[in-house]
Amino acid sequence: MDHDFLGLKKELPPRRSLFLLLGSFILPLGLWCLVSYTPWIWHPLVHVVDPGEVEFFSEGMDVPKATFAEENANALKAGQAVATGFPVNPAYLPSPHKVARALYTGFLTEPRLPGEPWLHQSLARSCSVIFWGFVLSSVVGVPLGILCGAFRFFARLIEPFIEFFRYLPAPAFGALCVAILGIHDAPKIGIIVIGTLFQQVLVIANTVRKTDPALIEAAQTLGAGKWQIVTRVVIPASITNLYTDMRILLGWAWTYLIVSEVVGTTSGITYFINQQARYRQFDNVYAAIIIIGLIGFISDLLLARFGRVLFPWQHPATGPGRLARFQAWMATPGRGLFPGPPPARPSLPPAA
Amino acid sequence: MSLQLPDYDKLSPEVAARFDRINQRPVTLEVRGLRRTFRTPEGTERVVFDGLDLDVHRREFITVIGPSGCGKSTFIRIVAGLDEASGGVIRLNGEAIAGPGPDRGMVFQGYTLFPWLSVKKNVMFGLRLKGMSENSAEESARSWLHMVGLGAFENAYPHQLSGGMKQRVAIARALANEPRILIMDEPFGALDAQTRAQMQMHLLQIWKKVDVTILFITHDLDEAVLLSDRILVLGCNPGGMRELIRNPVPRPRSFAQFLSPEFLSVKARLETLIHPPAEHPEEEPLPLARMTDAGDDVE
Repeated sequence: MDHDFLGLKKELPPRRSLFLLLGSFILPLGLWCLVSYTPWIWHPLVHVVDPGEVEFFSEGMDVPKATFAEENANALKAGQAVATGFPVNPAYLPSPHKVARALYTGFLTEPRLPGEPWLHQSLARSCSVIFWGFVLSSVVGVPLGILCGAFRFFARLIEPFIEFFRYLPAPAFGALCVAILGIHDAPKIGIIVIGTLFQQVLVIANTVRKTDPALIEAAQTLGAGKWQIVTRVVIPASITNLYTDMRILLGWAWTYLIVSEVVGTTSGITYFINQQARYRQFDNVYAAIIIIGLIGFISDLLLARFGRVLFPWQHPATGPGRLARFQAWMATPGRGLFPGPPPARPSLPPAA
Repeated sequence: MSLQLPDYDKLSPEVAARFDRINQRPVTLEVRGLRRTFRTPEGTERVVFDGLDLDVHRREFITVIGPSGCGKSTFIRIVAGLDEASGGVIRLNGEAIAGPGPDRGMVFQGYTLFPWLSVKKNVMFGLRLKGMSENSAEESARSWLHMVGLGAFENAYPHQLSGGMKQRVAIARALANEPRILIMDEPFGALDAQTRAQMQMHLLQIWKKVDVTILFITHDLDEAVLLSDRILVLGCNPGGMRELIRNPVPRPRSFAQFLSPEFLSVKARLETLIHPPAEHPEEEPLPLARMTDAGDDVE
């Protein structure tokens, strides 16, 4: 079955799997390079090097190809010196190497305005907004979700309203949040809480409801009471899935970040992006967007790794997909991101 | 014609004496007039059983057998307190039961070990609920694991064990609570044939050493005859007790008895009770789809 690329639900050989994984990043990057570094693909503008005697042109200006040709033709007719230049893409599509450089130089460039935050300060502020938004949401959402999942009473009492509320778009509460919470970070955290909390209650309630009823019955026949079942069976039985839920919900919190940062006074990474766009430093804009993605991806990777430490009883054969296994592989001590001694596995005596 | 069981009480003084001894022991589980009905979607009532009476004596091994869907599980779930009766009463050592409790241990068909706890902590679960100290619970768990032959696995997690080992831990976990009665709902149903045979002998050895009454559900006739003192046969339409068979096969039991006359006659009797001969065997023959030209010489 060596040439069956599209086997349904079939495991791919590891080499091909790795190849595809790299390909999923290399393909879009290659496309970007192709558009950026091949002068005859797209490149709708001409970057003027020497304006010659064309009146409208000045050095360093980007003009549309057609205009450039037309003006040069006119100049030639009038016997004036023609302008020279080379084809370029618009400023909003910087080439990959510029963005790559900006990933590094972005942190070293002094802000243009006095009192303006550095890139790392902007990032730190964004992360703190996310952190507090998610923590506050979880402090309320997790216990509420567990109650709803464990007891029909709370589910009927709380969930219908939340079902309704979660359809209200969180950004719509921006003005309210500012009116109530002021213009600094509080309304931003408020938006993230509104965006996350209601989903969180429902998602967690659903996960808790899926607790295997046989485990609950087993605990009952062992003498467990109602609250003992919640604390000693329902919560531990669903904790690994809850942990995964929380990782996904943290991703949702990130999607509310940009919206929340334009509420009140614009701050954090959004402020940085807006300013750089204003200066037409689009390489810095792309770099900032990529950094947000990297922070999200790496924090999820670390949380996944941490989950393996927290929940050693998880069955290795079930659950994680290819990407999760790659993440786990990257995050395993002794391999991937953490070179060092491998973890000690619980050893079993030979079967009786 | 349905096959009758010879009256072994008259034929064999040993059998009569054995059941006399059992009957002299105190009654552990007393079921009186038990009734369970379900409301069907059409709004009518379906009676699963009505007026079920049963006395189970201390250290007796009772097996419940019957066709699927005839309330075997419902019956023992009511005894365990996981399901409610529509009428009647169940007493354990003279006290009426209400809801589940640690005096009735249960082993389920599915694996119900807590996956987040090690084998030892699983066995300690009930003891810790009772308020026993960590140390003595641990000591007790160790001795029960030793009893089921899993002393070396106390720190393993359930997912590292085979199906048979998981059920042995489940038995240890239920017995550690020192229940008056151990309820087993097709505990070996999910195991392969060899493991099931091992587990059957293993269960008999444990039962020999432990003062516990066992109420055991199975749909496997061999298993019922191999393990039990008496076999409660439940029927369908009308539901309820078909027969309560005293199992004449002498103890100690072994697989060598599978071909003994007692074993075979009990099994044959169970067979006729559970799969009664068709009432109208001479109805219209099914039309025979003619697949080949080979003729009708195939019976």
